[in-house]
Amino acid sequence: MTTDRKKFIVSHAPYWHNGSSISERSYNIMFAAIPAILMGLIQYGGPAMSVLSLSISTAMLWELLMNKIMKHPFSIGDGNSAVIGLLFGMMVPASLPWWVVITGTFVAVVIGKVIFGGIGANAFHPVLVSISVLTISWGNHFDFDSALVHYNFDFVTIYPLVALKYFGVSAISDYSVADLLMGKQIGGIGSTFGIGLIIGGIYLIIRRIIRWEISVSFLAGIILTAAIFNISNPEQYANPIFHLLTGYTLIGAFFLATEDSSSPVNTVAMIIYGLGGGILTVVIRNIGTYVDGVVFAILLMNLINPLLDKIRPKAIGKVA
Amino acid sequence: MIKRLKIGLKTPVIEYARFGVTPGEAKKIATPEQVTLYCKRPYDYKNLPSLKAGDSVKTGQKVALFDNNNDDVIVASATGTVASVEPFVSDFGKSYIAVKIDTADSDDIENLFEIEDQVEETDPVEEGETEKEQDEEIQEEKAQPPALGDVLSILKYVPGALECDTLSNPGKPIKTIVVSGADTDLIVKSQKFAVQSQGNNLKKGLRILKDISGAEKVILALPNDLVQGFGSVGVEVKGINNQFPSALPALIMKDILDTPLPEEKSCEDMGITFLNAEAVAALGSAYNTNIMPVEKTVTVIMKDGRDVLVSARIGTPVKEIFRELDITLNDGDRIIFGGPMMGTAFYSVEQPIQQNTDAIMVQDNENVQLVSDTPCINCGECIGVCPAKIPVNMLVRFLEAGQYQDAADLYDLYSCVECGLCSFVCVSRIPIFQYIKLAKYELARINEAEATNDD
Ligand code: SF4
Ligand code: SF4
Repeated sequence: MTTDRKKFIVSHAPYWHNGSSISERSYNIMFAAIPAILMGLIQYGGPAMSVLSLSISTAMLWELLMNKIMKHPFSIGDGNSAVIGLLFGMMVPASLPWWVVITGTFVAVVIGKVIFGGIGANAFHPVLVSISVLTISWGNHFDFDSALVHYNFDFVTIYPLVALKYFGVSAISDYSVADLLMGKQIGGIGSTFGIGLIIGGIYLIIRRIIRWEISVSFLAGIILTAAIFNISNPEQYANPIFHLLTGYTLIGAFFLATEDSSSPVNTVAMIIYGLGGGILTVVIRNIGTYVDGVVFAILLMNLINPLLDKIRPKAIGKVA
Repeated sequence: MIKRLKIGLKTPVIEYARFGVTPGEAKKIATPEQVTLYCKRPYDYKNLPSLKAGDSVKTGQKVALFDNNNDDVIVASATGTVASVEPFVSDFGKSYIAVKIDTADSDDIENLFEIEDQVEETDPVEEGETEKEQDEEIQEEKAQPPALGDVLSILKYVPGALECDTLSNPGKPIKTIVVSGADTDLIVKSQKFAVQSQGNNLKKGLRILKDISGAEKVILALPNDLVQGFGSVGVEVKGINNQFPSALPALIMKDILDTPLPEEKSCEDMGITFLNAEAVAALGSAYNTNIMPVEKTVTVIMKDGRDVLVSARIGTPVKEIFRELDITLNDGDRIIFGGPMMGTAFYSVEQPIQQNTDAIMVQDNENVQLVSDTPCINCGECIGVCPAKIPVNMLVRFLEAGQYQDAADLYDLYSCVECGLCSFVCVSRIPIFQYIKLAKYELARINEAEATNDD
C-alpha cells in the first residue's frame, strides 16, 4: 500500500485550537482605539497624525532592532509593539517633539518590555513606565496647557485636572459632562473622547480581549473614592463624574490597567487590583502633588500584582 | 479546528456532541487479512513467549502467551494462525507484546464456557411471553450467578475495556463502580452508541456487576439526554451535563459523587472505579450469547469534521477503515487515536484498533495547528476554562523551565484532569497539555528511581 510510506504529523493533544492569537488581540485593541484616535486627529490635525505615526513606527522599529541584537526571532508581527506605540501616542499631547516621541517609545519597548524579558514578562505596563519616566524628565512637554497653547478651541482650554487642582471646584463648573464625553477638553491625543473610549472598552470586553473585572472595578474605585471625598467636602473635591471623564481615567480603565502581563487573572485579585488602582488615582489627584494619578496608581498596582495574584481559588483535590 | 467569534462576558462553553434520537447502524468493517493484538506486558528476551508463529487460534479464544500463566493472554478477535509475536513500543515508551494473526476466511467461534445443557437448551417460547421475560427466566432457572473470576476475566478484554485491572486488586477494594455511558472527548459517540443500541445487554451486564462484584454501589452515569429507560435495572442512574469535560472520571467524581479526587490519589484509592458502558454491555452480551464480543465501535472523525460510526474487530489496522470509508491521506496529515482534545497521534496506518479505541480522527495538513514558542502573555484565558481551577498561567512558567517539582508543589500540577482545554484556548499557542503530561511522566520516573534507590 502506498499510504504506508506517508509521513504523518505526530504531536500532542489537543488537535484543535480556538483560533485566538496574540496578533488577533493586538489588532482588536488597535481597532477599539480608533474612535478615540479619530477624535484626536480631528481636534489636533496634522501634528497628532505625525506623533501617532512616529510613535507606532518607532515602537515597532525598536522591537525589530532588539530582536536583531538579541538574535531572537522577529516578533513585531504579533502587533504588541504597535499597540505600545499606539497607546503611547494616545496619551501624549499632539505637540510632543519628535525626539521625545522616539525616546518615549525606546523607554516603553526596550526598558519597559524587552529588558523585562519580552512579551508576557513585563511587570509594568511599558507605556506607563515610559510616560512616568518622561514626565519626570521633561515635565514641561507633558504640561498639556503650555504644550497645546497654540490651538484655538471652542471649549475651555485648560486641562480639566489642572483647573481642578489650581483653581478649585468652582473652576470645573465650566466643563459640562457632555463636553467631556465628546472630547471637548484638552489632553492626550487619544485620551479625551469619553464616548469613544467607552465604546472601545465595551468592544474589548465583549470580545474577551480585556478582563472586564479590572475595568469595572477600576472605575468603581474612582467613583467610590471621589464620592467619599466629594461628600466630605464638596467645596474642595470634585464630583465622581468629573473624575471619571477627565485625565487618563477612561483610557486607563480600558487600555492601561488591563494590560495582560502586568495585571492579575484571578477574580478576587482582579477586583482588588482594579479597586486599588481607582482609589489610588483619586487619592493622588486630590491629595498628591500630581494633577493626574492614573499613571502612578496603575504602576503601583502593577508592582503588587504578583502578590495579589496569589489570591486564587483552590484547585480541585487540594486538601490544604 | 473550531473557530468561533468569541463574544460575551463568560468563558465560552464547549459542548459534547448530542446524539440523535435514532442511533443508526454502525458501518461494519470487513475482517482484515491480519489483526494485531497487544498484551500489556513488556517483551522480555530472557523469557520468550511460548505462543509462536503458526499456532492457530479461534475467534473469541483466550490465548495464553506463556505456558502456566493465565494473566498474560490475548483474546483472539478472529480465526486464523499466529503470524508473529514481537515487541512493540507505544507512546511514552510503554512496551507491549504484539501478536499478529493472519485471519482465515471463515470464522470459527469459540464459546466462552463449556456448553452446559441449560445454556443451549432453548425453552419453547410460551405464548404471550416476551423475549425479555424468557431471558430472565433462563437466568432464574440457572439460579447460579456467574463466577466473579469469569466476569473479571471477560471485562478485561471486551471492547470498551479500560487499560486497568481495578476490580480485582485486593489491596484496593472497590466500593462504588461507576459505569459511564458518556464519551469523554468531543464529537465521539461510541459509548453513547453502546447505551442506545445495546440497552438490553447493558442492563444484563449491570445486573451481573451488581450481583457479583461485591461493590456496595453500582452507578450508571449517562449523558443527560440518555438517562431515560434505565430505571428498572436497580442501579442508581445519574445524569452528566453536556459541557466538556464533565464526562471525565475526575469531574464525575466531583460533580456527581461529591467526592473530589484528592491530588496524587487515584479513583481506586478512593474505592471508586470506572467502567465504560460499552464494556459492560459487552459483558452482558457475553453472557447472553456465550460468545466473547470482539467488535469495537469506533467513531471516525473525517477531515471535513463529519463523523461516522464503524464497527471493526479489535486489532483491525486503521488503514482498513480508511479504505472502506474512502479516506485518503497525504503527507503532513494527522492520524489521531481518540478525539480532538485528548487523543494520541500515531505515525502509522498499520496501528490497530484496540479495546479502548473509541475514536479515530484524521486531520488534513491544512488544519494541523502548529504550536509556537511564544511565552505566556498572561491573558488568563486558560484560568477561565480550567475545570480543575489550576493557575495555568503560573504552572506553565514552571513547566517551561523544567521545574516540575515546584510545579507540583506550588501550582497544582496533580490537580489537572487532563482535558486539554488550556492548550485549546491558549493565545500564545503553548502546548500546555503536553508540558503537563511530560511533567507528570518525568516526576513519576524520578519518584520511581528514588524508590528503587532506597531499597
Ligand atoms: S488540561 Fe489544562 S485546562 Fe484541563 S485540567 Fe489540566 S490544566 Fe486545567
Ligand atoms: S492561555 Fe496561554 S498565554 Fe494565556 S495565560 Fe494561559 S498560558 Fe498564558
